[in-house]
Amino acid sequence: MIGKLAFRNLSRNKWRSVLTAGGVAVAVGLMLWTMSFINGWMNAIVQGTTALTSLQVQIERTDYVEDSAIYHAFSLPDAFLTTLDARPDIIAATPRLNLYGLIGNEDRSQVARIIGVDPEREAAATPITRAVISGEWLAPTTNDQPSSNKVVLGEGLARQLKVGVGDELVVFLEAADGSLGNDLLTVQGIVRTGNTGLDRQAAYVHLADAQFLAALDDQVHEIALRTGDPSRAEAVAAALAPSIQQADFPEPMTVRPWQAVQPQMAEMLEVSSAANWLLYLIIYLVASLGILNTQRMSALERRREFGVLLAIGVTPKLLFRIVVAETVVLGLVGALAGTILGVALSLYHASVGINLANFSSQTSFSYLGVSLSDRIYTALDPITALQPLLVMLAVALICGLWPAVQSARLNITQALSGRS
Amino acid sequence: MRWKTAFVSSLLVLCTGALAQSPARAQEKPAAPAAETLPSVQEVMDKLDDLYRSTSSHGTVEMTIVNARGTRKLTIEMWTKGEEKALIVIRQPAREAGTATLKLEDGLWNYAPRADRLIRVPSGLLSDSWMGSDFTNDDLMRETSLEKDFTTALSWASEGGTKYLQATMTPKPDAPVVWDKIVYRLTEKDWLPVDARFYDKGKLVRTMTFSNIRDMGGRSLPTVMTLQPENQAESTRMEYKDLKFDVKIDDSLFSQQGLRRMARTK
Amino acid sequence: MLKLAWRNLWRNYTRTFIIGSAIAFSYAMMLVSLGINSDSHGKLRDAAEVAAGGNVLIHSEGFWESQASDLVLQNPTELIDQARAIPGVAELIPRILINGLVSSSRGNEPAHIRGILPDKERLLSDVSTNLIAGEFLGDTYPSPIVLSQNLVEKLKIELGDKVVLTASTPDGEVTRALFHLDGIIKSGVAGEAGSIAYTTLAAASAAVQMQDRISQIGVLAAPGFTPEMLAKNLKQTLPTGTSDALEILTWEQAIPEMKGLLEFDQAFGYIYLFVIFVIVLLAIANTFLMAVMERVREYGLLDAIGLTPGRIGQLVVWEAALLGAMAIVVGFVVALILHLIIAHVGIDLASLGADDVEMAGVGLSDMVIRSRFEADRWFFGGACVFVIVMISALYPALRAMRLAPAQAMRFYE
Repeated sequence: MIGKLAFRNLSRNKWRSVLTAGGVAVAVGLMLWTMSFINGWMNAIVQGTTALTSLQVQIERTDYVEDSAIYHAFSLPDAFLTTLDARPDIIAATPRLNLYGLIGNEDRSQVARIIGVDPEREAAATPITRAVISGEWLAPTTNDQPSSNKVVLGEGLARQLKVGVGDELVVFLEAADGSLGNDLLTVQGIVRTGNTGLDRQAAYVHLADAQFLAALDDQVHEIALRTGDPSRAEAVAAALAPSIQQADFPEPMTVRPWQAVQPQMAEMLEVSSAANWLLYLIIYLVASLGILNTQRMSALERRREFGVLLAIGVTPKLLFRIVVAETVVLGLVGALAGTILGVALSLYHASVGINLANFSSQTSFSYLGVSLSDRIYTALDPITALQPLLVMLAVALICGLWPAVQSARLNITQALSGRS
Repeated sequence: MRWKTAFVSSLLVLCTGALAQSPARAQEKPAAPAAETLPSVQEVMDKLDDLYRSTSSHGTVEMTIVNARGTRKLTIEMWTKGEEKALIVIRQPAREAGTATLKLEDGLWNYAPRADRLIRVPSGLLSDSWMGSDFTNDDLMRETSLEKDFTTALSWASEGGTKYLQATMTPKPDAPVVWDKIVYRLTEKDWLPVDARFYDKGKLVRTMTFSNIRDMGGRSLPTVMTLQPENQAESTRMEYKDLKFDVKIDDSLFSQQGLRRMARTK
Repeated sequence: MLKLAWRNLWRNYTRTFIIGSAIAFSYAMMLVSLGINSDSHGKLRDAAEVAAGGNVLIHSEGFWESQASDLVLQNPTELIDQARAIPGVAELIPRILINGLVSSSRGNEPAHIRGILPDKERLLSDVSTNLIAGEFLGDTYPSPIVLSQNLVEKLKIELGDKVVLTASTPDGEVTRALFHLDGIIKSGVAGEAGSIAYTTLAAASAAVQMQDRISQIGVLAAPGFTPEMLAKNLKQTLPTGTSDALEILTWEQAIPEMKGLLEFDQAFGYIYLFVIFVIVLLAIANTFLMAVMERVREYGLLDAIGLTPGRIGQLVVWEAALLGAMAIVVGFVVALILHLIIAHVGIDLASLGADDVEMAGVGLSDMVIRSRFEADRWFFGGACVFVIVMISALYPALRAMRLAPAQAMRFYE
């Protein structure tokens, strides 16, 4: 009976019903979209800051984490990389050897970070090939020619050394055994990564060249893993850890997600999420205010209607119930519609992305020194999808009590006369 | 970013600094006076400062570095001329043989034998330990005399029946020295160093031992030096295999061509 | 007509009050979020300028990228005198930057030493607030040095201990100088922040034999001058491009990654504000529409008593304009009060579990959210609200005008 009455009331006044439910729907939908946008934004930052360096998960010797001494390197067990490649949660794995040494010529030299990489793997795991501004990226390693004596320099480093593609450079460094490694390298390419540290210091060489220089045959310092979703990094690291323990490493190994590799970054994002809660709160407040006002307006406009109902003998209690039922239906319909709308929009932007350039005069962005794509892909998870629904439903119900309480307290004569 | 390595450049300093100062005037000095009376500080300091000083030198040093990762042995040949010019070539082990460093008034170059190229070393390049040894730049870069930075007090000391001339050096107020005090013990008669102990905040931090006194290049010198930090399983030992003072060395040796030539022989 | 509109508003003051407060509060919330957004963005910008060392930096040509010890400003006194007269220059902060090795008897660590004039430096930012022990370049020692906690731990030293700095002089000589540990500052977590050390300009000068030379002048812009304008003015007057050339960089050129961060932050801010705007405007439109739709009958009545559709439209427009304007003024005042509260009291993020954080190597020790007033954005928001109010008022009015009076009076759908 109550439900029937409520439904009839709602359908009788389509305008009001649509407006009230629509308000809830828009609030829920936009809230949901905003949350998934912020998630996507955070992912973009993480991906941007880790894209060229640690990536999302890093495997190192445990003592290398504490003290990144050159000799804390490890040998790769046979087919270990292939095992990593086979995992569905890993997109690419790139082994690296990190060396610090002097690079230069007779006229000048600079301290550089010499990074030994497998060119193909590094290119698959990082956007390094897109950063090449002159010359080209290191050629793929082949079995009969694992090394090339070629180097790809960071832009700033090349400028400091006053060298270009084709020039020769001497590299000198203290190898793992304390001896002095030296070699002659030819500049193959120059990269502008947007990461000042890399641009000023990086010198990429073939892994085999670096291993020879450092007297670390077949050894590496780290394996960086690219996982799809940065927020899954911790889970991937945790899942990998047991299999790493079982694998054939003589030394204790550590698998770290980016949060552990770059704690300052993780901390910053945590603060951002705290700050984001304030943003969410403001949006919820604004939306709630809108819903409250719609309901107040509705209560006002319906005074006469309620008066008539009371006059024909409907008890205040019943009227209260009818109005509450109306509110529940409207809130539910609105929140569900909003969720569907928001999820649809988020999923759309998750696949197409949002072009940030539409919101700024900039066409390219960099964050913490790392260039980012100007497209943000929204990221949706169950919590994001459900939270606005539940919060706004609660808000809608509470706000809906306003007309309900008003209706129960109505003075019939005044209400019928239409005066307030 | 922590920059931790060391370069042959430091070897350089080895020549012009702590090791390659020759006792040119050692022979001219009168024998130590009667044991009871203390010599003047000036005389003793001059003797210490001049121990390895010479107008030119040519020698071979064997260096043994022990640390947690193992033992490393290097044989180094070196030439010096005046205060500014030096050439150092690593002869052993084979992996590094031919690696060389040239120091001239206007700069420092390393020679990379594999590349057959020179690389200019920035003057500001410093490292925290020299080739993984316990020597710090503080030891190797020391170009100033002990006299400038320290106030020295002499006394007689004896241990196990041996009498030593003890020089207790305290840094002058503004001297850029991290130690509280350095205590040198010298032989009673010839004032040759026996050991030097370095203190900070009243505690012994490390000990340098001079031993194996031999006649070399016409001088009587301690030919082995060992540096031992306190409470650490690390040490660095340097032994002169051969050393000639005031030999005639052609100026052309101290050039990029000379460097290449000397590095590639043998 | 204006009078009629005014009377109409007060005839049903409950409705007017509800609509008015809806507009006012939504508008106020919108302005508050604008203020908070401006402030967090402004805070980032300020932090970036502090990290760079000023709005504009003056070095010897090539110094900033190479950090070479021989690239020094030869006649800083003359340069500062010259620069002081340039329009837009508010303050000039001389510094000596040394990349060297600090040693104790326990070890050596690479460090970035900044020789500063503490009184001048305070005009940009007060580093001494990061002090965790000792004093910040006090009078206790002739050559005081303040090291980051990270360095102090690695060197295993205590306050008052000796620290020897080894570094290159501008002439390429390697030299050493004695300092005493005067204070310890918190080490930042990012990048080079852990190897930062401070000393006085005089002590730094003596240590690396700078004589009268310095490495850097940080220039602060006078109000109303952007870093770009200031840099342009400086470049016009000071000698650049000659043998003794200067390098004049805006902070954005000096730390481009911060510039990128700011742009990204701004783009994010716009999207966020866009969402807030949409919600606020829809909520206002919603409330207004609901009120006006109820009045379609009333319009029908007015039509029936002989008012032309045009005049009804005018009446509606005037009512909405009056109500919107009043509500916007009230909302503005409410927002201003909220803004002042947030600006002065702040919302402490630290209480939300956040500790000190760094962004791009820039310390954001002040993690209190505040608000910043930007007139143009606030008025823009007001204009948007007004426009939406008018649109929401006009739609039902137009609808009413098109209906026959008899229909309109029965309008109930």
